Amino acid sequence: MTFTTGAALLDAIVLAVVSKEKDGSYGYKITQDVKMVLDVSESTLYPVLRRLQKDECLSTYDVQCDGRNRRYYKVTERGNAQLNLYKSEWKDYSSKISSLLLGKE
Amino acid sequence: MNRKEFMERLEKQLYDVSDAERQEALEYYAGYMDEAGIGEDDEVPDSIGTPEKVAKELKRSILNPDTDFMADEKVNINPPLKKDNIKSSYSGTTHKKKLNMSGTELAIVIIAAILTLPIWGSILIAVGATAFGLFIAAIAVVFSLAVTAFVLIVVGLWVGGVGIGALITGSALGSGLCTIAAGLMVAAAGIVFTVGIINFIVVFIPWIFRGIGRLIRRITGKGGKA
Repeated sequence: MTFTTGAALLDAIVLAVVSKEKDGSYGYKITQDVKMVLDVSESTLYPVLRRLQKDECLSTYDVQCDGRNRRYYKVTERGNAQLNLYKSEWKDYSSKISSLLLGKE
Repeated sequence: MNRKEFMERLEKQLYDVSDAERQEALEYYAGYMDEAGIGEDDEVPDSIGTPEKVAKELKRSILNPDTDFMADEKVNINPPLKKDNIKSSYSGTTHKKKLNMSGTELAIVIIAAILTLPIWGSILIAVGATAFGLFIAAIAVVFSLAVTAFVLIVVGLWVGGVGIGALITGSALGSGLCTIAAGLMVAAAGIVFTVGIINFIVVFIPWIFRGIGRLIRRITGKGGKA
């Protein structure tokens, strides 16, 4: 990948991935989902999850699963508002870059 | 590295973050490896990264939440060659080239320097000769001033001595006193001269040498560029 994925874009991607699951998602699954489209390492995603949680964009809850604890992340209302902001910003930004780069309207 | 070692090393690496922060990170990675089916004695895949890298990224995120997280990633994914290509085709031959000269460039500069030796060599000789001349002139000036001062002191004392002699013999009282005064004045002038020369040596000689040094540097600097 030639382009860097900055902190804000990673936030947006993780929020989008988590928001797709009604009951939220857990670290391993979130990582796998993000990795489907973006070549990120595990060490990159934990700090993102942690930060989103600190910013109260994600909340966590634990579920017992196969005799062990699985921590789920869920998008909060604040996180949802943030995601909507990211979406509109991205629309604007990506269309501008596309029209410049590819000559599309 | 197996999971056990990984977790131990990660814990060590996180010694300087808060207990809660460390605990959460360790739980996250333990849970992650559970999901990935990595047992205690199983190898941790490279994709997870080393404990050092994991700890570094977490600490960076704690210290500066707005860090560009994938800045490191880019180096791994993107061949560094690409960036260099863009740079050299874009900004042309400015500062970078002067700093890191390639072998052939260096050879060309050396050959050019040898070929133009008659030009800058003669300039260098002229500059050296001028500097040498200035140096000799400065020494001559100092020497002549020193001789003047010495002569003034000797003559003054001698004239004064003559005056004293005239007084002792009582041959000529008035002219004897006058002679003593004149002798002392000349000797005083000699002392003043001596002090002046010492000042000159202390202040001006280093200044002259510095000036010559600057001149040489400036000329050779220009010679190198041409």
